[in-house]
Amino acid sequence: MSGAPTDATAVVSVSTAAQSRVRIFQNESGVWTQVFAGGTTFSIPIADIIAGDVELGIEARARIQPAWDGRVTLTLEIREAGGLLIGSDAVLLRSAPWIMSSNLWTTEEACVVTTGSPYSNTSFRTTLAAACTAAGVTLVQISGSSYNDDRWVQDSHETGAVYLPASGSPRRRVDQVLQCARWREIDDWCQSALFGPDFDFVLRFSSNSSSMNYGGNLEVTGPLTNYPWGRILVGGGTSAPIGGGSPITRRFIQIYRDYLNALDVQGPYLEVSSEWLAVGHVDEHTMVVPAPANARGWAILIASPDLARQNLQDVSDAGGGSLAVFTGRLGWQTTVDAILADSALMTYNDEVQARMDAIRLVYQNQLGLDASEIIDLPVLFEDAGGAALAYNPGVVNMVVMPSTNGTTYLVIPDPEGPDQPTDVWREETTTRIQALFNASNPVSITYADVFNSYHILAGEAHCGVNWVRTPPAQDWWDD
Amino acid sequence: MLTLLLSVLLAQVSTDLDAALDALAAVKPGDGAAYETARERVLAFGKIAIPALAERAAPDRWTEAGWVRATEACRLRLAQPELAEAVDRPAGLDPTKYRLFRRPEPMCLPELAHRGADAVPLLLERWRWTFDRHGFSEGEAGDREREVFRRAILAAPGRAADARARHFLAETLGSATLADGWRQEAAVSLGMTGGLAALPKITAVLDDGSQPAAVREACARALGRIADPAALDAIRARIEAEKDVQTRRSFFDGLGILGSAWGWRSRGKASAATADRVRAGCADLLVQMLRQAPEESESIGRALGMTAWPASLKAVEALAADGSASAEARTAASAILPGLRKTLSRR
Repeated sequence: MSGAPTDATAVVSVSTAAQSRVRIFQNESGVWTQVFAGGTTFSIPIADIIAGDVELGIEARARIQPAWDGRVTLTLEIREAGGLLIGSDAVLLRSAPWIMSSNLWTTEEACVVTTGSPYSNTSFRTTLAAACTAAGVTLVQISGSSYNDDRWVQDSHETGAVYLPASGSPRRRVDQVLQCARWREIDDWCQSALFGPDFDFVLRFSSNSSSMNYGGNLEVTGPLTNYPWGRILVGGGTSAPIGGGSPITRRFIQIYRDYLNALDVQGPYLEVSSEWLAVGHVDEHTMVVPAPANARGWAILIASPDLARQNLQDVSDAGGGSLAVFTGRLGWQTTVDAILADSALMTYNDEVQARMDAIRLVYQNQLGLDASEIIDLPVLFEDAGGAALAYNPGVVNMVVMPSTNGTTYLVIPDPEGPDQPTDVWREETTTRIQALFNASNPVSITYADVFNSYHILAGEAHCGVNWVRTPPAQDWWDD
Repeated sequence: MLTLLLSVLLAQVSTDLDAALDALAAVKPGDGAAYETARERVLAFGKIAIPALAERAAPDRWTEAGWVRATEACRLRLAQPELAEAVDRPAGLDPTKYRLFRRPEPMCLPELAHRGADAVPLLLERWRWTFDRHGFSEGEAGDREREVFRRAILAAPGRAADARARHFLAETLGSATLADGWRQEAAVSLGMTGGLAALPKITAVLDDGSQPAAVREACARALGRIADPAALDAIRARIEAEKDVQTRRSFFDGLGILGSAWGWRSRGKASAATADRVRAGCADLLVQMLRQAPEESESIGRALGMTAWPASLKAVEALAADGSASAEARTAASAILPGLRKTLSRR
């Protein structure tokens, strides 16, 4: 606008939602001067515009939140002294959104809480440490005694990253933690340990502490058509408990769900029924894993009572009905035929399977997945008093660690099924997962003892671990 | 001479044991301290008393009037002290332990249910005499622990299909002064333990319009727990006339449970003919209700999936294409077809 009249005015208006949430600066010979800190507009001296390019800088004073999706539209209008509009332009900017890390991202660091008697997780940590060593992953072991043995580090927070464009240099990566509305001991660890240079932290923003709000109730898919960063899966719903009765509403608290949608990049979130589970988390029945042998490159694993039962039926039909399940577990050990003859348990699992069939259809219809991209794994459930818990250590609830060496390392709860000649639930799980990988990108599967350390406390392996992962190379602003 | 002396001694022990058991049975419900004192006198006889206790606690001695046999609880305490310890002090009611749960709330049904039928007499003893002797927490936490424990005691017999508990459960279901939630648990557990004998107890409450809606709907579900064609007949006779939406929905849930394919499989080949008859009947009734109540397609679809009766697929397909059916019914039928196909293909 070098030809603008010298008595013209140049006014920039700021879009409404951003007006109280951004500051704008103008570069004046190397000195940045604030030109906007609130209101609706600011002016730029017309002489500056006539003189050439005007360089503005913008700063977000608030995070993305339900009331603001981080978008700012700046509209420049240049008018003659009489008010006649002689030129205008608009630009849309966006505060960099948090992108939730995915099980498909390479793992840099894993963390686990060390716990002592009576529910020691020494065995689990030993298995996890070996997998981390092989994967080149740094394992951080947090002293549980400092946090009342709160071992559910998966639930305290979700990790992710914010990427910022940087002219003339590689983008800047800022890891960012979303703290969950949970209010338990290990939350303090992530607050103190994960906050630092290039490691940002979003404090919990609700006093509600329902288990529906925990991090285990958030997962994210791999890339989908129109969703290159995947879609966030959130557990919850409004159905009746298994066995019937009045419907119950159990959902991730609204303000967090609104926040996830405001981030936009991986939304809108997809709510997946999990309200019938005692803890209520999506990770109790669903896990996203790399699947290099698939065209899409990833797959969803889901819990299947039918498969677990069929495995047992096959064992029984082959004469193994008296084989032990949960061998040596005092108060829990049983036999194949005892499980199959337990009408209450079998009927219960018939209904859980019906729920899982409905969830499978949601994944097919809402995410566009083919049936072959949703893999059943053997998990039975039982009534924990009006809601369901995994009956056998839930193999779906696993640790997923893609590594820089091309191998994906999985640490899976040992389901402790009957040996014919080896654990049939393990064999079924291994066979189905291995089919998702290939020679170039293989999988390493380790089964970990979680029975006393996690399973009987209503969680499994995934619930006890959290990660820092490497984001993929793509830039979100290109999408 | 020695034999005579021994028999006299045993007779004396038996008489003394009977006296101790009489004193135990005479303790008023809820008087935990007196009960524990009297129980100690029985337990003092030691393991030598186990056969006599077993004889006096045979299943046929569990009656409406005597719905828990303290004798059996004592026998278990002598024969299986580890079990008694576990049932007396569930980890899931201990705040130092349940605060470690992924969801830090009391929860004890799984650990009690895994103990099987042997836990039931000990739990009923707890309910009748010693409930408040448990070291519950103070305040709201203690209230939650009590409620979880009550419900677990009611549910555990059902999980174990322990018919001895049927009289206790029937009394609980019929007690209008008790909490609706307890009566709901009792209804379902009674259906799981009582067999055909439970049917009139459950339908009596179901048919009594003055009963709370929550209790009636639980009875509708409980009918599905009675694995017998008579339960199907009972549902069929009531489902269309039921006015309460939730109770009708619970009939659908009950049909799914009653028709459960794996449920029948668990009962063995001897029940195969009954299984086919009941599953077919449940499926037919569900499809019929889908035509009449398409707004309940979610519940009905789930129940049909549980029944997994092959012919139901064609019936639902026919409904979806039936021009004489309402548009809502056709839409509902179409909506449940993919899930039903998946279920049937897997089986």
